[in-house]
Amino acid sequence: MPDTPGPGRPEPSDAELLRRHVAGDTEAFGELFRRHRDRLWAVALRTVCDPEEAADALQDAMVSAFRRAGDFRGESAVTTWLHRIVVNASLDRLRRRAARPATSSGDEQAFEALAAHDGDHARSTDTRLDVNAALRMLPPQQRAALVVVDMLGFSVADAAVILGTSPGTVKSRCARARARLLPYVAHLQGNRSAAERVQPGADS
Amino acid sequence: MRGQMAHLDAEVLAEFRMGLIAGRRGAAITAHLAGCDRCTALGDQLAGVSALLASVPLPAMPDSLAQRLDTVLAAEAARPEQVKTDQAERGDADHPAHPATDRTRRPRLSLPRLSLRVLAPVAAVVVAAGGYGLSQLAGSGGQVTASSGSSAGAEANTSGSRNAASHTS
Repeated sequence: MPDTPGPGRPEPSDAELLRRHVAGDTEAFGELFRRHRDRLWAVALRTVCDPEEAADALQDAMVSAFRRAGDFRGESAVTTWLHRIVVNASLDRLRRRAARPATSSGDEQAFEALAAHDGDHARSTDTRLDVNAALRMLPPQQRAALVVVDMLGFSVADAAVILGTSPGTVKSRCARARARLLPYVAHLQGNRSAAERVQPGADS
Repeated sequence: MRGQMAHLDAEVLAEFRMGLIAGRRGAAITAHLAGCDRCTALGDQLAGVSALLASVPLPAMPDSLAQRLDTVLAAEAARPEQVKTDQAERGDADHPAHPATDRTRRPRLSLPRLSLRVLAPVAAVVVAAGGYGLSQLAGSGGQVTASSGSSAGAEANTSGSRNAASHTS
């Protein structure tokens, strides 16, 4: 998340790379993107919940950021700005998908995936799969808030910039999302403590 | 909130933990938590949700996607003129609108895609325009209604392109 290189790192800061890009350095933006691409990919993938659509959203976002970098005002960190563009592109993808009747049954599919998992949850080791299925059931705005704050570790203030809303709204969305996820991830918490005690299935 | 407090709802507790509930209600929750193991445990579980989410490793970008995006960005870099054009057209990058490719893939928002949030100001325009028409017929108040109609139009444009990130969900 830091916008400037740590001590001992000779690389230019994010802001410097963006300046070079705007000044015509054809390599600078690519370097900036490579520096943050895993986190940007993560936010797109977790928000959109579909690899292909997430890839398209990320591409949209990066082309947009590339072209409009000259308008970056420096009011936030470069990473915050990049994440904001990715979240917007991701939510935009979701709105388009929601408008397509054929694929609007995502929630039902998520529920089915969860139900299928409940059967053998004591043996489940793929926490990631369960978390993704649970995240998918959240309304997109709540999901985006939770992804940015809980999964990526942004502060509420930065998340507010990324999500284009107030800190109070970010807190409210996170709170509602956590409460909503509670029933679905409780068994994972149980599994983790059970695994730590080396008693698989003890809490099932 | 008087006397014995009922057990806390997970959402209320989550909001309390985010500092969204203060004052007398917040004090009542604090007092309740001090004497209620069940609600304290619920609070721990909520903290566990965040901890669990934080523990999920970030997925690495697939190589194929990394290559694809490198190619796309290299193609962008080969079109310097386009940069200026787009920046001039699109305004403030701190408040990004739709992704750049929207312009080619989706020139205009079509009605079925519009969310309520976007539709509301549009409806306001329609109402205002209707009001304008009526007031024109009535011969009074046309000026005021017309100006509110045009500002609602501007609002519809910005909220349409700013995305509906401001949805309350």
